[in-house]
Amino acid sequence: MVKIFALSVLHKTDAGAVWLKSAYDVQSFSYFQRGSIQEFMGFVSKTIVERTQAASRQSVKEGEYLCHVYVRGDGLAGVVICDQEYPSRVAHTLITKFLDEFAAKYQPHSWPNLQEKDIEFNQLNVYLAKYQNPREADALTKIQEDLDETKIILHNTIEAVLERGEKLDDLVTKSEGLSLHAKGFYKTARKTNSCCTFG
Amino acid sequence: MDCDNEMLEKILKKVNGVVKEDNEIREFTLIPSVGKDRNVSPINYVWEEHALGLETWCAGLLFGYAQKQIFKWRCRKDHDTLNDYLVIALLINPEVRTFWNIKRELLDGNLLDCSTELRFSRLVLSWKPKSYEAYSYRIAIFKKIGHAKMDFREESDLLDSVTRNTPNNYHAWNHRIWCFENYMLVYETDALSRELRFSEDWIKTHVSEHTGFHYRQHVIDSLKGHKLKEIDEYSKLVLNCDSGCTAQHQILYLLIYELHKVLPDLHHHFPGHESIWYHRKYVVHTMHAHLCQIHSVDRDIPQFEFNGAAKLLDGVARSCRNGVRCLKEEQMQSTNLYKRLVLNEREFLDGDFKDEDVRLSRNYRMWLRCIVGIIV
Repeated sequence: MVKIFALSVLHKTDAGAVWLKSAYDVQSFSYFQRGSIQEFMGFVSKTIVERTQAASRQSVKEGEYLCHVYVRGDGLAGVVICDQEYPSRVAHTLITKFLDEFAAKYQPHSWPNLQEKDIEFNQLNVYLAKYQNPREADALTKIQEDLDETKIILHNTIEAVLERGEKLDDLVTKSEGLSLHAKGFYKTARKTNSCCTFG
Repeated sequence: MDCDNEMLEKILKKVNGVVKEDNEIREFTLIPSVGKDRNVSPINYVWEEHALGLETWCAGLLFGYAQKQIFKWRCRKDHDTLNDYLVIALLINPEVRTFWNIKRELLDGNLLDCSTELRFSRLVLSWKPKSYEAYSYRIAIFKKIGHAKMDFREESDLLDSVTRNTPNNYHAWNHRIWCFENYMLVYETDALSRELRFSEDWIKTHVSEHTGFHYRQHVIDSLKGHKLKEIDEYSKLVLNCDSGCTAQHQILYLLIYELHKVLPDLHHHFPGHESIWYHRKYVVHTMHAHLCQIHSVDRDIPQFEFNGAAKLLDGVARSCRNGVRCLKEEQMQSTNLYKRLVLNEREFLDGDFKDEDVRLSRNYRMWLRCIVGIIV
């Protein structure tokens, strides 16, 4: 499926990453899973941003999902979580675009003190809807051309992005940001693969 | 144990109550249990969303219990109780064919309400979208009530949601093909053009799914036996044809549309997907096969633009007089359409490919030479 699930803007400092604004589209998941999946996407975005060097781009595969990250030199970071069919180039183009617009609205000196709830940046939701069709990005030729010069590192699992000795399972268990429900769903998703198992 | 059974009976009654009473129930899920608190009901039912969730801790117990009861009640006359157990067992684990077969027996004996059963199998599919048995049970219901009474909007809605959420769901696509052949082609005049439009939209948003491409190919192939009857906007756009053109013309028009409009868009926006290359192979191969069957040749019409195709085809293709007779190879190769096809593929392969597409284009070139005999 050609689909974007989440767009997020984060601020990365030496102490970690902080969410500034996120937009999610989880309507396609079952009602009882939506909350957990959204939490988990937020968790993954933060984890990956924290492990991406400043001024670099990465794309990380996990199952059928792809997570594209760009951390700018000034610490502003953007994440797109989408399906594997969604073209990576377009995803990275989109990150550049919404980060530029975010930075134009909020000056860099204000980022450390911004609270997610105070930020007005509805553009993220607009883009989430609009760029579900990657053909919309055809107009953004300027950004696309600049991207051609840039190297995007592709990882085949999240584990490849983690620091040595780190495991995603441990990070999930330790995480304070995830609810018990989300952890439960994560464990089940890891365990069940086939159509016949339950519980 | 008795206490446990009592509890399970209670859960069972409640779930069955929801399934029976909520006419629009859409979703069933097992929810991973968080704590081990068994004093709280394991049933999560959200009426506004028509969603029913059951906590996992009781699923195993419930299934085991229902299973025992099914075999106990099977020979008795109380069908409603038996069905209640079947509903629970199949919701939790829809892969048990025996249980579906017991349900069929009840269905055949007119002991079940067909519309409730359709709703139930839909609920099972919301939880296990790849359950073959559930699709085949639906077909059994349609056979019972008669195909004409099938509500295709409902069926299409169900298939949309399952195929959207589970990639490569061949069971669901097979079911769509069944509906297409047994219902749409028989009872609907606009079925072909609607399914063509539907499948075009689908492959454009699911570019790596062979299932969707396969369905589109199936619909295109079925043009052979069924001419597009109702000319709506889509069929006008695609076929650009008048009432005089034959089924064979229509397929050729459609393949040209595929080659000039659909495939370039996919190749351009979604580089590196092998499924698109396979679809291209299908288009070229089918076109080549049709050219072989075309009877008379008019070499004087040089035009072959997408829009000019109508003019060309009128000259090139006329329906066979005495069944299908293949043109001689050199005769076929001298048709304008063939020449244009070769030129088109040559220009396409001369394009600029990156990464994975380099390998795929090499394979494609080889395939053209060895299988179709087009050297580019």
